[in-house]
Amino acid sequence: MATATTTQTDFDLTDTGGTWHCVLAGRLDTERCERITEPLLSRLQESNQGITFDLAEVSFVASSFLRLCILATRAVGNGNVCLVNTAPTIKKVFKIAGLDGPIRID
Amino acid sequence: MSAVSVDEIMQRATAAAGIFSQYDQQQTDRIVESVYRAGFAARVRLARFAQEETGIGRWDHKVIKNVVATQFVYEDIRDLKTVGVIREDTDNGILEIAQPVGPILAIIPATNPTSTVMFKVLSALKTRNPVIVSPSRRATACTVEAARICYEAALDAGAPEDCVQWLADVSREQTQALMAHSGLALILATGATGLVHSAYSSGTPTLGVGPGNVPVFIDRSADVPFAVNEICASKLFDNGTICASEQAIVVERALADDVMAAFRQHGAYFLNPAESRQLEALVLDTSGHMSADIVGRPATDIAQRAGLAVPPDTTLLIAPLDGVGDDYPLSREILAPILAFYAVEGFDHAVNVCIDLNFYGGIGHTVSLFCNDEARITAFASLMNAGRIVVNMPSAQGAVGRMYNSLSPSLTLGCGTGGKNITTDNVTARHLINIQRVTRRREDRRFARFDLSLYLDEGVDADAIHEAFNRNY
Repeated sequence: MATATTTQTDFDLTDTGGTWHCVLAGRLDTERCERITEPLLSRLQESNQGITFDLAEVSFVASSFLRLCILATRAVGNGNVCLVNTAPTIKKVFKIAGLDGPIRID
Repeated sequence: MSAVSVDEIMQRATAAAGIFSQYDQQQTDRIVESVYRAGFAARVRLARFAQEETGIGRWDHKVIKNVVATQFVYEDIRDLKTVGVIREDTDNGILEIAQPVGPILAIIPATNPTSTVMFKVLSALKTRNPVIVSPSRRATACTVEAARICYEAALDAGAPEDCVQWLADVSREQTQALMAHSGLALILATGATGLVHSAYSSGTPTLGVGPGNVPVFIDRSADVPFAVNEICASKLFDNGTICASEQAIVVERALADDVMAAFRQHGAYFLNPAESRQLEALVLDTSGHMSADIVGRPATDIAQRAGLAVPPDTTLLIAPLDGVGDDYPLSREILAPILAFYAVEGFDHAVNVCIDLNFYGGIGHTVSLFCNDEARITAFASLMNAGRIVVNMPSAQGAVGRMYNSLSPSLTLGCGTGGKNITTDNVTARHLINIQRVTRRREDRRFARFDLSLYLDEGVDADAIHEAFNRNY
């Protein structure tokens, strides 16, 4: 159940009661990821709750999105960062990079 | 990247491999063009840098190597399909899809440092593979500079972060750990034999090279002044540092005086036996290997170090020898303006000497001949164990490809199983993809209508099976 929603230009963040649900869309290139990394990590560190990235509308991820996921995992622990609605091309990125262990991909 | 651990390097490389997997052919080609243009623009600066840092060879010749590694390599791979579907054979129902191999470790030699970096980076990026450049200790700064130029150009064109990394200050143990790392997909090993063997021993698939010991046979059908001119153009190129350069001249005795006179016109100095022994003492180190101190040095410098009084305009030192092997140290590979010389009786004897030279440290690499007799060319070629048999051209430039023939331009020359390599090809981007084959059902109708129970009957021999299997009603 959603308890709070933050809408910014780059992402929608909803507190679903114990887990953040973050909807991203389009190309997650370096510039964009650098803009969202700090505010997202701050939320995670303040709340100490996991996050689910909804990638249904994401067509491309840059290295900086992998870095964001790694930093998020460090902040909230292995298994508490999850990717959902992941396109096969992006799922493959995480497989090749060896990040499909600490980060759950559904 | 000195403070970075092997694991961090590999994490970055595998992340780059993941990101690269999303790129299409057009995006990939844009990156390759950007790297080519940047490398080509830096060809003179990098050549000077390499010569100054290593003291090996000539900067103006290293410019040509850099041109081969950029312009010629780019022309060779520019239109190559390396992403997605690369071939479709509808008749046979085969669809080929290219996939990157994964992170590549590129080992770079001191003899051709900047050119080898640019060649390997272009080849790796064309195939969407991240590459980790490992310099020779003797050429670290120029190698890193070449890698940095390539990386920045790649980033400018939208390449993934860390698609090019380099090792500036790592120990031998770290290099070996990197070679054996489970995340590494392939090693492109160009360098000294020991390093290539280490790569093979790591358990990671390796495209390596073997040492050369290139004989050049000047047949009586050859144009002697032309042949000598070409041999000098090759052996003197970058002071003899290309492993495909000639190491020994073999001629029929009837031609020997003409050949020697032609070489003298190019500034060659023929050593007497005592002078040859003086030179032997210099060119081999205490373990009997080629001394690194003479690699790529000018002939006059080598002569001076050996205590030989040669004319100041000497370009080449030539040692007439009677045999091949450990008792004749100058019959082995020497990457400097030094040649052995054999005057022999007839074609068969000449071929036998070339076989001896070919098998004395140069199996699988390159052999050369100057000849206008097609039957002799074929006979000679079929008796050699060499990936490249170059005919009527300078061996060094000929083996590297494109300038004098249609071989793919490459700075990694496969030497086949004789050289402990998996291929005799000139290694290119074509070797850096995994090809997946989608195969559609195309039944062999002979198999479908064949009575399979015949296979179970030991009384039916192969001829009977063959007849039944191929029966065309």
